[in-house]
Amino acid sequence: MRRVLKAAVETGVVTRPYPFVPSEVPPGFRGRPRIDFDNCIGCGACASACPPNAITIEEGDGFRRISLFLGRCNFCARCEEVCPVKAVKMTGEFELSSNNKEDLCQILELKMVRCSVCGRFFATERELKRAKEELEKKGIRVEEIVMCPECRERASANLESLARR
Amino acid sequence: MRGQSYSFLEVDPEFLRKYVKELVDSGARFSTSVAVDERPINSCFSHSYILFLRDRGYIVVTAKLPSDRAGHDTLTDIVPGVEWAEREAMELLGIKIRGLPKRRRLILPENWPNNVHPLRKDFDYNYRPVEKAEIEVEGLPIGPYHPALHEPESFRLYVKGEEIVDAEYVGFLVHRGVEKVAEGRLTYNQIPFIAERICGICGFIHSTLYCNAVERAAGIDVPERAKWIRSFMLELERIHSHLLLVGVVCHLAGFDTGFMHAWRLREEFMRLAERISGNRKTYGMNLVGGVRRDLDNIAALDFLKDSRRRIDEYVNMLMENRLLIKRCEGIGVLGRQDARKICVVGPVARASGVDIDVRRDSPYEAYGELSFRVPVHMEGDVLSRVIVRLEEIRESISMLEQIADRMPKGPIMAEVREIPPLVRSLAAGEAPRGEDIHFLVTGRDNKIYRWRVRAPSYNNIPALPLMLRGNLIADAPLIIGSIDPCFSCTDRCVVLRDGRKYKLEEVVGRRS
Repeated sequence: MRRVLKAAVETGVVTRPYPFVPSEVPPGFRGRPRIDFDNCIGCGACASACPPNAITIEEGDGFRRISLFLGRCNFCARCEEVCPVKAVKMTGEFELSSNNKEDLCQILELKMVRCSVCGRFFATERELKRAKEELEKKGIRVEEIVMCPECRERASANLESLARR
Repeated sequence: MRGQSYSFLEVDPEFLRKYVKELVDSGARFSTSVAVDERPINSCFSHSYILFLRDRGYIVVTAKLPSDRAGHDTLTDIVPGVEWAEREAMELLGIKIRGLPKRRRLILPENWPNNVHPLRKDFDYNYRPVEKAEIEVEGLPIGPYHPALHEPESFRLYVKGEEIVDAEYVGFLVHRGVEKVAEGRLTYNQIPFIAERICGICGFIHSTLYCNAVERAAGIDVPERAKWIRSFMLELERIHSHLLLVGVVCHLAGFDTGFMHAWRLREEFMRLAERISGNRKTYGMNLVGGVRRDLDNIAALDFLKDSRRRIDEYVNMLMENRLLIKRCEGIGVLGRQDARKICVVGPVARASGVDIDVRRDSPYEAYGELSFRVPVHMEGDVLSRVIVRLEEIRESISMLEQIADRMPKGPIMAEVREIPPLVRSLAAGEAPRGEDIHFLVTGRDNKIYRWRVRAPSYNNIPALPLMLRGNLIADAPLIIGSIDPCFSCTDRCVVLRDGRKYKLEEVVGRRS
């Protein structure tokens, strides 16, 4: 009994006054992920790594839509880890309850580019721009012709057969 | 009207109904009825109905009933509320009240002889018509909501009076198909995160063992530092899990101060985990091939410096509490032979004298290089299950210190090449609740073919009927709690609504 009282006196009050005083999170805390629209190139690496399907990708009307729905998010930060351009960042926000489902959504729409041969939308403008920059960094000259992977394959096969003749 | 007023009214039994009905119709409220054996005085019984009428006070309507035909018609059709009072008059005084609905006896036990009415004057106060009551076995449902640990599980206790003679477990109420989701839809590196959510307390052991199984199947050499980090997180997890359980046992035993202090201490370990991994419970650190975050040894050592003293203080406080000890001692006993037969694992086995621990018997991660003691007790009761865990907390703190002190330097993630299909693999580990088993068969297209998770509670829950037998109902929650059952792990749950996609039109906030 004496020990119980001693422990109570020595410990004092440990309950924090949250929510009246905000609760601090340590650096590196995995809170709400945010996608920075200015940096995102729409490659979809986050969507394919995302375990609970919180990030999904859809295409249509010449746009690629990246949607992040926090209602499914498990805050694993795999999106942050796999993003090639560091557009996804985990924030310290954790108070996500809301009466409105829309508060839990972030949707990005990125313009896509048509294939100059078949006319199909196949990549976002930013993806192509980044690919070009990366190649140029390595000293590879890039032509301006925009072709989807299938048409490029066909074209190079034609080139090969021409060369063989 | 000041003061309390009451008046008596004596009526012929034939007119009893009529008078009471008139009073009730004019707004009187029925209070109770009293039957009296007046035979030694006037060879009659009397039955008085007490009613209250505003402005008139209490009115006692009494009917004298001659002893040879002591009875009258029921008043339940006029005032349904008289039923208990009339039944009491019938059972205890033998007033025949005609027209009462047939029901079980209200007051006298089922085996009491007919026509023996204890409140009659000719019934001696120390006469016992029944020597010893025969008690029937009855079924008592506990659950499916929280008898012990606020998870959906259900027990049917068979009780004889206060004593439990048998128990039946009704589980798998939260089987939500984790394995199926992993086999059907998730890729290798997505599964650690669902594995971690198999358990709400000790998830890290599940993701670690899943990764171990895949790493073994693919022949991946996990960097030493990653192994040590995993062991560190596993021991951290064990400490918070054990402190949680010790707190819960205190709470179930009615010692809530012990519960509060256990959880206060646990909170410090949760915050350490949060600083290391970015989350207090789902560390999310495992991937096939290693871990995702490095660990700051110095900060960890700094934290641990004082934790042993704080834990010791707490343990002393518990062990000095005689009420807690008495509550836990000698109940829910599982003998050594039974423990072996049922194949219980973890602290439940070790408290029953079965000396097993995967960390020592079949080392994984960094355990082969750590020195630690495996506490074993022989009593097999709730108290020894608590003590085993308290001793394990001390061992875990020592392991954390060893790891933080001696952790090798180097990379924390191996390069993972293709994982060969259709390779069988197994990984075992010591979860806070005992041996955890992950068996898997690798598949094609970056997916597994089969995954079987056997959480420790799967082996421990079948011992509960044995532990409960012969104990009191009041101890059942404590006994169930003492094996630290994890029903969700056993059932392998996770929330995932298959195929449900959220339509884009439902949401706004677009940017383009």
